[in-house]
Amino acid sequence: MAVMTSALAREQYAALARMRLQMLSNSLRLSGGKFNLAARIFRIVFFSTVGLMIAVGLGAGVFAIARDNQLRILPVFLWAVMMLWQLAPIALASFQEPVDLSLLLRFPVSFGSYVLEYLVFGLFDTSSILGGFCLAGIWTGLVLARPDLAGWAAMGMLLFAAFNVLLLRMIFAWIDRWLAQRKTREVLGIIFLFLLLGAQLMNPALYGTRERPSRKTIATMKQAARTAESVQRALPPGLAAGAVQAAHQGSAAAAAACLAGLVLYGVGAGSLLGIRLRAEYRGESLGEAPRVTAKVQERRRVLELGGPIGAIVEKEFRYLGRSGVMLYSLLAPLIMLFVLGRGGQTGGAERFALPLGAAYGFLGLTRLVYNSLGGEGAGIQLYFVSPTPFRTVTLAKNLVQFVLFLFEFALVVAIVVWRFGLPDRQMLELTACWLLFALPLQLAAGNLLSIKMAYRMTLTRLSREQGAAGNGLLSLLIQLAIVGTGAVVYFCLRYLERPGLTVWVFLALALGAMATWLRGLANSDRIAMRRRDVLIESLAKAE
Amino acid sequence: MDDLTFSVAPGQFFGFLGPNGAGKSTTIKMLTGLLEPTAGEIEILGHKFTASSFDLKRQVGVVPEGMALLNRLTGSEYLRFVGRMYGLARETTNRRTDELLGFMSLANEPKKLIADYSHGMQKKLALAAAVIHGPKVLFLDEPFEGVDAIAAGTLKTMLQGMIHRGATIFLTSHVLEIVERLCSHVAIIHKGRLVANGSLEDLRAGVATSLGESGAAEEKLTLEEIFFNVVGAGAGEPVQELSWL
Repeated sequence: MAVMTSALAREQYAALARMRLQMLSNSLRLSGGKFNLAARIFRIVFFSTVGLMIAVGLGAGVFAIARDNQLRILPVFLWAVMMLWQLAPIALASFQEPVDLSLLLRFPVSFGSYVLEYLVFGLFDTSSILGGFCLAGIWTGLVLARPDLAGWAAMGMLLFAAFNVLLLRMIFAWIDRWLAQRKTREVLGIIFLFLLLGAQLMNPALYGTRERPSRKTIATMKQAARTAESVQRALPPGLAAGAVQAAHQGSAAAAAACLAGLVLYGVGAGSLLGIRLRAEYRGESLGEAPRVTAKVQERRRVLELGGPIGAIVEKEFRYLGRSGVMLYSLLAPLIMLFVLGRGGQTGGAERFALPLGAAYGFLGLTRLVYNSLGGEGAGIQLYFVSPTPFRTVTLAKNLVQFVLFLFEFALVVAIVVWRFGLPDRQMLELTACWLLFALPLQLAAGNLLSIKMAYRMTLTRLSREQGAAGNGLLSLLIQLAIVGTGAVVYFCLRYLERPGLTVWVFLALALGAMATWLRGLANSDRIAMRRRDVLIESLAKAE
Repeated sequence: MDDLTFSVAPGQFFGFLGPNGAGKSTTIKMLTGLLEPTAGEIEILGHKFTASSFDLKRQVGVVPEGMALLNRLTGSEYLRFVGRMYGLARETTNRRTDELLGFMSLANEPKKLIADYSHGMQKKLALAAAVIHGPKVLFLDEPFEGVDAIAAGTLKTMLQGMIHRGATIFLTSHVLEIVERLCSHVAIIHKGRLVANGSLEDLRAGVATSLGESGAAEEKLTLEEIFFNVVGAGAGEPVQELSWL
């Protein structure tokens, strides 16, 4: 601890803070830098607003249960917060922008300082903002109803927040490690599969069937709920809630014991994170030089496509197959759809499962489409010195993206059919026509952003990208606009009692989108040539 | 760059020198289509060269600054990729890939990703990629930087072989001994301006005249001495001392 607060360490923290400020101020010289800063501010404001809204809801709920002496329900709120905290990064995988501190290792930075900087730098990520607001809301609700609990509740919420930060960092640090190596990536894939199957098996238990469950089933479920309730008391949300409950009952010792338990969980998560950070601190690199994936099986003639287009398509698939991170990004939305998509009849909302699933599934392709050159590194120069026009490169990448989307969409359809049954014919037609409009437009926008707002992607780490904020925000807004256009057309025509026109409007929009894509493709040579120095600077110089 | 004009004759091994920041890499970038000149014209093989001169690019090979490698491919995959980007038939690409990997001693670890290559191996692979399509003109930006003696020997053998077959090579390097040994002609730029250009003999004669030397003394002038003389920094000049070192 002394090393972390030594004069040298303090100087280093100050130097780091100054360096970050200088980098920020230097980046503002470029329009891209200004946009990135604006995107970061927007992200913080947006998620703070969302967090605040959820916090108000949670606070009101907790106020009500605390006022009515129903604090035994408190764990439900804390479990919800923990789920949000831990799952938000998966759902928003394409829009994260954490920090690479490995450059610090050349300096005499102590391990304690390295850990501290690692924790502090990522403190304002999306999940921390959301989770932080939620816990603040819960605390406020509690204190408004029971001012005497302010101290215990504050300690409980703070420790719970610290545990969540450590747990999230620990999980992502280890996933990074596992995704970087083929063998562990395969093991991780199998674990994911079992988790999905487990979640699927839970589904009937959670949502039931149309028939009324038998008494035996109800009894079994009640027993399971009781067991789960007793188990959860020993888990972090239960312990945080337990501290408040015990304090409410006047048992300071029990409250302190709960907090101590929470500290132990924090230490556990921190220790596991520490193992990973210690390895990084000792110089382990997961960057561009994985150890086991290096021994790849060389396969000649993956596809029998000729010429530059075939070469690029093959190369793209090879890159994808060797990047656990990209595979994870591709599958993350499907995992969320699979786990969280509620099956059965839910009052008509399931009708939109297919288009919503397709739109959500596209999130997995966001970085591949909107930053399609990000993985090239210094190799980007090859496209400019070779006799292959840039539009050919763009076309080949679009072909790969199209195939990947078809694959993603096929999985979405499979999940939707499994969870909700066959979609009705009209919705199937509408979704297909909407996709004819959405897909070319996404590709056109992606091609443009890939050239104009490219940032370097590290294909072996989940989250080590600088300059991704602007691209991430714009790509999100474009996707929202495309989904929004579909929704507006559908609901407006339904309101006007002309639903039959929807297909035709989508087809007309599809023609426009196709023309936009073709025009963009034809112009990509010119745009890329004009921006090639900036593009090379962003992708190659960072290596 | 400031009013830079020079020409390289076919079949020449041309060394392009200059201190750090003089504009060597910028010049190569402009000559290979990686950077748009704000003014002036570039001619390669008698044709005006722009970034869209795709036919000309087929006859040009480049090892740019940063080497333009795709780190997540194996060496073999990368060479096959480059060959196809230059429009070679698949069979030709495969044959040349195998030959190049053997020549460069890179065939021993065919499954290794480029990311795991040493710096010297990466340089060799970058050079292999630059020549896979049999270019008539080769631009090399610091091909010997960070390369050990064995790898440098391989590279030199290959480049000399290309010159014998009539190719033209344009090379920048900070290793003046190598330039002196390989290049028949040398240009030196300083702060974006061309300050010397000609055969090594011409440059020696010019510097000897300015120093008032002749005969054996002129012949003994090394490229390093010529370089220092031309860019105005003598090897024996007093260097300001750092008080804390």
